[in-house]
Amino acid sequence: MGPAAAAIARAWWVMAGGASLILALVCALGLWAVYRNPDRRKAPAPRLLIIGGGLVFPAVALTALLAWGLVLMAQAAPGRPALQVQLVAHQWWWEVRYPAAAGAQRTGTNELRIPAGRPVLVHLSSRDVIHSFWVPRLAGKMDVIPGHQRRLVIEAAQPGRFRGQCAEFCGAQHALMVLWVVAVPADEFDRWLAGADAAAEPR
Amino acid sequence: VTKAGDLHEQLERAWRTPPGWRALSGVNHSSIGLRFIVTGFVFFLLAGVLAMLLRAQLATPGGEVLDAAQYNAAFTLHGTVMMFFFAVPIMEGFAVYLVPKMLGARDLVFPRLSAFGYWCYVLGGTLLLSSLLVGTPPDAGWFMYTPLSSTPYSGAGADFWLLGVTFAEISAVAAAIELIVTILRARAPGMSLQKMPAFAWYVLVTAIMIVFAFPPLILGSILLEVERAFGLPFFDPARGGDPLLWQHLFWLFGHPEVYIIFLPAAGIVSTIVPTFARRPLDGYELVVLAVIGTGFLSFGLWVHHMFTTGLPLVSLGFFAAASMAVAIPSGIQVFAWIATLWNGRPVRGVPLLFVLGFLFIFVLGGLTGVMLAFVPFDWQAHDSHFVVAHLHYVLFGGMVFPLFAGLYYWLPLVAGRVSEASGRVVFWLVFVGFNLTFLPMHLTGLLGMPRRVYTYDDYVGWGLLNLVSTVGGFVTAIGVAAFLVDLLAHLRYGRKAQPDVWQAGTLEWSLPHPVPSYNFAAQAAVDARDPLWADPGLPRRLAGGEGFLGRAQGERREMLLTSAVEARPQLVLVLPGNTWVPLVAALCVGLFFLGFLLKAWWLASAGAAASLLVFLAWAWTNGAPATAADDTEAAPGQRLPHHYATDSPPGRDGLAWTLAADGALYSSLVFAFLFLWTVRPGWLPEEALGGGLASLAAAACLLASSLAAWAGARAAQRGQAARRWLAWGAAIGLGLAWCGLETAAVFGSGVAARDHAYGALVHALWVAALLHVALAILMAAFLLARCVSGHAGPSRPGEIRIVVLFWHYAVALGLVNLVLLRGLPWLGAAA
Repeated sequence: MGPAAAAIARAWWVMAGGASLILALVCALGLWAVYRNPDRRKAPAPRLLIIGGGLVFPAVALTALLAWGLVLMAQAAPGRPALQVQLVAHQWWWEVRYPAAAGAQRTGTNELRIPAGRPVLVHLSSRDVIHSFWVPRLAGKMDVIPGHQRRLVIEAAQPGRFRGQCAEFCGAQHALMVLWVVAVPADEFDRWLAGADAAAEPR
Repeated sequence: VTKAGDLHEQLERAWRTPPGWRALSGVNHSSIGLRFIVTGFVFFLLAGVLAMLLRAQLATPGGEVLDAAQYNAAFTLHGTVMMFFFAVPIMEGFAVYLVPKMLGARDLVFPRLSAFGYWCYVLGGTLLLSSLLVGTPPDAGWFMYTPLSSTPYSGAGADFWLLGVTFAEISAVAAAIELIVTILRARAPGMSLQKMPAFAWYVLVTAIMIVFAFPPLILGSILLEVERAFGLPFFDPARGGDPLLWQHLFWLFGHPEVYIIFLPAAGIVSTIVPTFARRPLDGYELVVLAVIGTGFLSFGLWVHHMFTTGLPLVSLGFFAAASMAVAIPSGIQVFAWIATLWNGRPVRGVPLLFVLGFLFIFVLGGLTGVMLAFVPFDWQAHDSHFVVAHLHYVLFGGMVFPLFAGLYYWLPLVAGRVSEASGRVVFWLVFVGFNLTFLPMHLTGLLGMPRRVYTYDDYVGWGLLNLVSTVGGFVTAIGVAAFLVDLLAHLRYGRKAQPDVWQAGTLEWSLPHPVPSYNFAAQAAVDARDPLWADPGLPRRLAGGEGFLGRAQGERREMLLTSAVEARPQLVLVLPGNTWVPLVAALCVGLFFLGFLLKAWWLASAGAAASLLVFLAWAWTNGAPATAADDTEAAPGQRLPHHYATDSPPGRDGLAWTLAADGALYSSLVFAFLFLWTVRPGWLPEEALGGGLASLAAAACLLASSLAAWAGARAAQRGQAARRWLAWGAAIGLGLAWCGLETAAVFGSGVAARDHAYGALVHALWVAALLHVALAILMAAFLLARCVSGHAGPSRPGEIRIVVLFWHYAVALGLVNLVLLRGLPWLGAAA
């Protein structure tokens, strides 16, 4: 998993835990209010319950959550990693262009090769309709909109193959618009990019 | 025959909807409301069948139930039909049926408008679904993102969508205006805003939201249809447009839409909970504030559908905060319901069971909504099946469960029978089926399954979860089928209901079950929020004709209007009876849409011209000549003026709210201009329309015409015929002069409509202002004719006020155009 995806996954588990607790509490209160014998329970002060449960508690919890989200967002702002690749979305395939090295430029289709452990800035553009670049185990998604240039930083902590798929409905074969990100050891990647290691050609 | 029986028969004769095929001419709110509900439910079943097809296709990896094209059309139509042809109309149906009864009124204030809205809805839905018959269903998603929905990528299906949905939206806006004016003007005397039933507050806020939220999508649809039909590039990035403009316009509508669907449903919950708790709603004021707050906040959330479009982080942060804040008013309502039940002595029943199911599902959907407002999480979950699960929890849980609760709760009013415990079976099937479908789907999304994919491979490991969802989907469908069986059994075999079967406190339960067409034999004066709990003898007295207008006047339909805040009796509204005009008008508008669809411009023009004539004929039947009685006895010893003899007839409120909707439409167009100008560097061409003397002359024409209209209105109200002709003649002449000047400016500038979005918008703004001024001129001519016929004049001031208000409004639009197209670019160039 990439660091960006890992941070989001952590946030998900915290939110899922909190949400489950709140859901259980509210449902327990609702069932208590309907099914508990009214003679055997104490009536609450309605205003206290409404303002406490409906206003004060969510305001505090949501403010904390918002602050955390803003921090995570700021961390995700793309920096200027050394390695930058161009990804062009078409109906229904991905065109990959690597930086030119030694006069020759490597290109690829539906497979993006990156060095493990190094952030990569992906420049996204579309040739036709709106697509969305999404490799769940590396980072969140970014829409690819005609007439706009978009950027997203991805990073794989370990070598491996990571499945990506277009996430914005883009027509008949949207479901088949799959992309693989292949993370290889950094030195292997450098040699491959320079055209020195023929064995590392895309499979 | 008793006196009460006599009164009942006479009122019934005046108010009933005729039997047989002539029922189509009925305008009574009970008939129209039920038609909305039944038609909405039919659309629910149709879209549900589509959902079952989708689930069948996804049940296994590589499913072969549908191919890609069929799947894409099926999910597009499922979403479109559920949102535009089920959720909004059926909730409006509830409001149309219930609001007058809850307010103690006999009908809505514009019965022909509600009938017209219903026919627009039916025809719009027919138009959309006819795409299936000709084999070109829309398949670009219910959100219709450009460029996928634009010409090179989408065929006629997109036209079916744009025209059908826009047609139906006319209906939504019409019903909204009608509900607002009814709630503000037709409450029982003494029912001040603070004593209004909670449901009416929910409907009021929802209707106001519709007035402002639907126009952005209507405008977007018009622009997209014009782009597709005539090649004006509003959204084409190669010619100065922007696909993001569509997304902004769509979600400016689309997010309020979620609350437009949810709030009436929450209003049902806020009605049922007090009845079953046997105590008034706790925290009524807080709930009302929460509903109003939701209405406001819902307009500041739309960008949370666009968190992954690469917008600046600052704006994402703002919209994340707003999206989380909207959870607070929902929390207030949830705890108000719990507090009411907790403090009360709840009795059990099927409606309350559905409310409890709603509570669980809606709270869960709200919590996942908060997660999605956490922007980095949204970057992962957006457009995955997690969002599919979330939105169904909010919409199915938030709206369909209260809908079932409401159907079981209010059915006795319609059928005169009361439900048996079989509703519990329906509840458990739908509740278990729903959760089985959508709870696992959160996980499917987190495992990386995007939305709107017609197939997936085995190796990705989404098979088992999808299979569970499909099984759950079919259990839900069986639950809905069980509801239909239960409903038919109820209508046929249900136990006869006693009056006020639930011992509720609101006025609709003072009516006999089933409800008579005129609702109240006499209109009540109330002084409590739950009038029946405060005064159990009220129903008997009303049935005996004790109260306002407790009399029959032949075929005449009368009802009381009151002041907006305190609900003091103000005037007696004479309503139109059954008429074919609304149906004919909707058919003529339908011809216009059909002509557009077929690109048969002669047909579209004929439809537009016919519509105009029908609307003029409709308007001509309003009011009463100067010879009619100015006032009438509304209650023993209390005389009130008829609506046509005052300067504040409901039509004036109706116009004001129509102008609010129209203003929102026009503002959306202005937004489009400013948006493209702002986001696209160098967007404004060098040869933009200049300022100069011509624009000053145009502005002078507009301002002078307003002055002349004002003078003409004064003369008409004072009965000064010569001055009236002179002043209105001048106003019309000046209006025509402005039309000529503007047209010359647009054509003289050489700005082309098809080359660039700037030129396209110049033409759009010009046409918009021209249409308004032309309509104002037509209305002025109409008014002069009405003055001659005696329907407008010193004792009939209403229509004069209406025409002059529209005139000033049209002038304001013309002036905005001048500032936007000439003033701002000139300032920009000068700076």
